[in-house]
Amino acid sequence: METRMLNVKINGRDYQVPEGTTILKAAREYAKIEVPTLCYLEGISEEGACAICVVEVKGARNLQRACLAKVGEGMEVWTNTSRVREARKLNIELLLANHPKDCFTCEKNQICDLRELAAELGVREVKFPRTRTEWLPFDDTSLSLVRDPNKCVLCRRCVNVCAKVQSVYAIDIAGRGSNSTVSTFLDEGLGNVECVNCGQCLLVCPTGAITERSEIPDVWKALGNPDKIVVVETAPAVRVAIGEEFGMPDGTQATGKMAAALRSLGFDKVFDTDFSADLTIMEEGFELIGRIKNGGTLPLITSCSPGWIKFAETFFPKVLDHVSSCKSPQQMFGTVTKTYWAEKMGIDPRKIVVVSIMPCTAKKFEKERPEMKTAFHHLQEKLGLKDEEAFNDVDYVLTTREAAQMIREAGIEFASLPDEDFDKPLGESTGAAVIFGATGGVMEAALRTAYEVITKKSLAKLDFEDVRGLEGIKSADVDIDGMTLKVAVANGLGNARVLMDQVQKGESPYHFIEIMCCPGGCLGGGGQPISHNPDIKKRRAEAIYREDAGKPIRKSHENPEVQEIYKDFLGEPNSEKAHHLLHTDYCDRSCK
Amino acid sequence: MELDNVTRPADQPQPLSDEDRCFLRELVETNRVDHHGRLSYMDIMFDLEHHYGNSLPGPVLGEVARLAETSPAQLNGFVTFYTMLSTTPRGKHVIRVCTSGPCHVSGSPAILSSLRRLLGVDIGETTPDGEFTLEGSSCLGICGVSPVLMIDDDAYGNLTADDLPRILDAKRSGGAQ
Repeated sequence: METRMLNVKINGRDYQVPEGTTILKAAREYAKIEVPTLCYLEGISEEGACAICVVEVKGARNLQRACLAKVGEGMEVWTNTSRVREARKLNIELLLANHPKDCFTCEKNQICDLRELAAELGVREVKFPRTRTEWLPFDDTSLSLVRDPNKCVLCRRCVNVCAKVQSVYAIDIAGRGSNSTVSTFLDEGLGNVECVNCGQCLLVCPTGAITERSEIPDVWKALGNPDKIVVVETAPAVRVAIGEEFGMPDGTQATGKMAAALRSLGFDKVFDTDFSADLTIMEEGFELIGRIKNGGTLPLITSCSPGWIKFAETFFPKVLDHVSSCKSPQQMFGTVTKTYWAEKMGIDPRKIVVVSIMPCTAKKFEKERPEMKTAFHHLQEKLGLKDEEAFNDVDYVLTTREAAQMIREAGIEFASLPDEDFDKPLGESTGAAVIFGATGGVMEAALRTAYEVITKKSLAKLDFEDVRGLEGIKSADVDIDGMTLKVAVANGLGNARVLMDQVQKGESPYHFIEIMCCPGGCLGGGGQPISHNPDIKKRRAEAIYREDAGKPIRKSHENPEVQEIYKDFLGEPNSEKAHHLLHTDYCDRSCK
Repeated sequence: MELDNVTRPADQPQPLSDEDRCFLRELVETNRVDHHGRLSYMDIMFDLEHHYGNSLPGPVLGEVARLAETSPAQLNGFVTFYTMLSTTPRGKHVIRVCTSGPCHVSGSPAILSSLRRLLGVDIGETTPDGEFTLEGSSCLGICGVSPVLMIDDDAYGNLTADDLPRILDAKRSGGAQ
């Protein structure tokens, strides 16, 4: 059916827009007129909660919220009258009345929508007194995120992202009227409810109400301790985003500069999580091959994303046997560093501090899981350690934003640094590992290895285009020497839920499923720089695939250092030792 | 309830008895049948408040959310929106004094201060013997007989401070108006 076109006048000029278009969309897309918004998030949060986008419509008694009101035939809209400007200013002032005036020290002060709007709209004084009599308590129950409800403007973006994109529903509005807050079930705090720590709420928060739990002070302390050997690992998605924090164009491959900057910060070794991503492919790839050959539980589902793991443990505890037992690359890296590398270098593992730089807030939770002390258990007997001396495999996790903050604090001119390489041996990686950062990447990397291992033939074309791209769910049939391998890829937990419902019902047609918690995969993670570019995920993904294409080795099983670790230390993929060190198990968190 | 923020395994002991679980399952299922396959949360909450002594214990709400297959946070939003529902424990009887305009001009401040004195508690508090919780309320819809208050499901109008001891005594001894 053809959409009817309506004649609309915006600020005195005539436009034709399709029926059903909002005034906001008509103004922005057809008239190229900017209407300021605060709570609006296209397709996700369209609540009309903030009333910053108000416009004047001829004949209407009240100002209309442009984000909600649809255009009508012959409508005459004015976006820039003094009535409109005054109303917008007034609404900002109302929001600021109860807002803490601590912008100097607020973590989000450089990227705060509220502050930017106040400046843009020329708010110079707040006429209203504070009405809240006391400050609301912080929610610091989570290992990943901290919420300051005093800075919340009740825009509901976080609530809607959590519900509609991630289908987790950990937070909602509690109370009513001026006493409303965004809260969890019974104010128990994010750490005590279904929250999977993905940090998507943090990315969309227009103020500083949600931030990551910072580990910067701990890392500075470790770097300043001469008795410690501080090792850093960087996740694949960090290198294509960290440049944004330093004014470099979106989608810049900043791998070399990042390595140089980390070395300047004083890390003793600059290693790469990509190494353990290759290791993950070996373990997971062989797990897949084993399950197919031996009639094991299928589909096999990837386990790299700690937000997804907690989601599965909370909402799909009955089908956890489908999830690969492989640890995530971050955790494999920590274990390998404190066992293999420590042994190789003759270093006491207790002296090693592993810091990982992740695009992710859930990794902060993951490293604290009690089962993630494998290196300690492996060495306990040998070194005669007591139980209370237990140490984590990974000591600290910094988000991309925190790493950038440390680089700024150190006065390092990131953009003008010369490119440097990672250190050997745990800095060696392949193109297959780099693409872990994009949705579909783990799948593609696993296929490259599984194909060659199963067929013993060399793969003619390494690029599996079907599993690339930002669609929520992708699927493909891959021909492996006459056998058809059915695979699917989901990014964003709302999409994961669709595939998992199939698995739970026993109706999943797939052999292998990749699930990433965040939309776009790790490159859209909750620890990444906050961007206002709607195409940012595309830019970062392009950079990831460019990085892959430029790598001399693009298949995990051809990584020479990975081959060496199997030869010298682990034996075969999925060997008993590999199982002990690189695999884990999961728990039911459904709270029946 | 102490919860380990890292693991929170499913076998964590929950302060709900088997009897509670059975009661809740039946309550939700009956409600579903009564509403042709859908649920009336308001009815469920009223039933729960009657059963659990004028409040909604957290573990009970958690179990109801699970049975109703809804998000605990959303159920929390529902419960905290309505001021007549409470997640904190309340007394055996809840006194709601109307503080809206019509009652205010016809003497609700005097009623309230009288009640404060008689019960020894302020708005939002419960008497030490657990008998009464004093609450302020918006309009109860019977302004013609203002000032008014409600105790549990009974309304009292045309009040003077002198009426209050008799009303409280009657409630205390379990009698009606």
